[in-house]
Amino acid sequence: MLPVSTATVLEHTPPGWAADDPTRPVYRLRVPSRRDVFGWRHAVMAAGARFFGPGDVFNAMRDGVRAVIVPDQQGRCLEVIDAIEARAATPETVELYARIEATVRADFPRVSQVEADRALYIEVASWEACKRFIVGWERVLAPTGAPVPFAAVGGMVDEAALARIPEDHVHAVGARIVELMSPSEDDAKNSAAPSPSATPPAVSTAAPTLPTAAPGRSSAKRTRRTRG
Amino acid sequence: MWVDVVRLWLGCRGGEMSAGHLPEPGGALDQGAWLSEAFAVIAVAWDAWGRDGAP
Repeated sequence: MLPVSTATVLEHTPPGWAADDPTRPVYRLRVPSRRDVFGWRHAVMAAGARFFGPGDVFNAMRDGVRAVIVPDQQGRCLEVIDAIEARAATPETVELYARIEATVRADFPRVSQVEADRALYIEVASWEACKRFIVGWERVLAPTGAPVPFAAVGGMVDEAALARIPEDHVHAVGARIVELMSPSEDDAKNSAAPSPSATPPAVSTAAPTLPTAAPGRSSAKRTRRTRG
Repeated sequence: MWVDVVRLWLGCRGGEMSAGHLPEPGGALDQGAWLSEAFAVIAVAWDAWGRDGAP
């Protein structure tokens, strides 16, 4: 069901549960209005979080390559980063990326800073979204296995109750709520007359997805730190 | 379904002399955020369709 009306209450179950599992947790979500989204963004920014997408992390990596990798190796390194970002990586490029990342991260702290800022954004944005747009839940258990009763204060979820639900639920439900704020690119492509360039940017809350090293041919000699 | 959203947009859009009307009670900020963005996407696509023909 598309989130057309603010009068709609949608149900959401975090990943990992069968739709017909009678024990599955269910969160009831209201559809945000534009005013609601302004309030959510304000709360996120007031908490000191700024939006950084996966592309920002890769761009920081590119800046790091230009700053700390010797010039004749930079082109290959940037090609590797492009391939990883485009999800067109081979095992070799994945391993190369891991080596590039380790080299850059050692001498270019902005990569870690961007990742940290992105992680903070995901935490704060999810929390604030859950607080504002969950209107009920059922069969939600704390990590201890104890039932967590729904509670609201002043039109928002009681933070003490929200703090008891599993962290991965906060992230999953928060991501679903953000999806209710604007059509995704896929949504827009399914509209009557596709116009990707007109698609409003969707706010991503996906977890950072930098790759880790994978088995493959070692290519460490291809990257070097700039010295002197 | 998107076709329903397009129908809703067609019903709400204004003509040359009209600003149209809002699908839900209240002002512009009280409308669904998703629907507002969807209307914007449809409006741009509709204009392009009228200008360039069907995709």
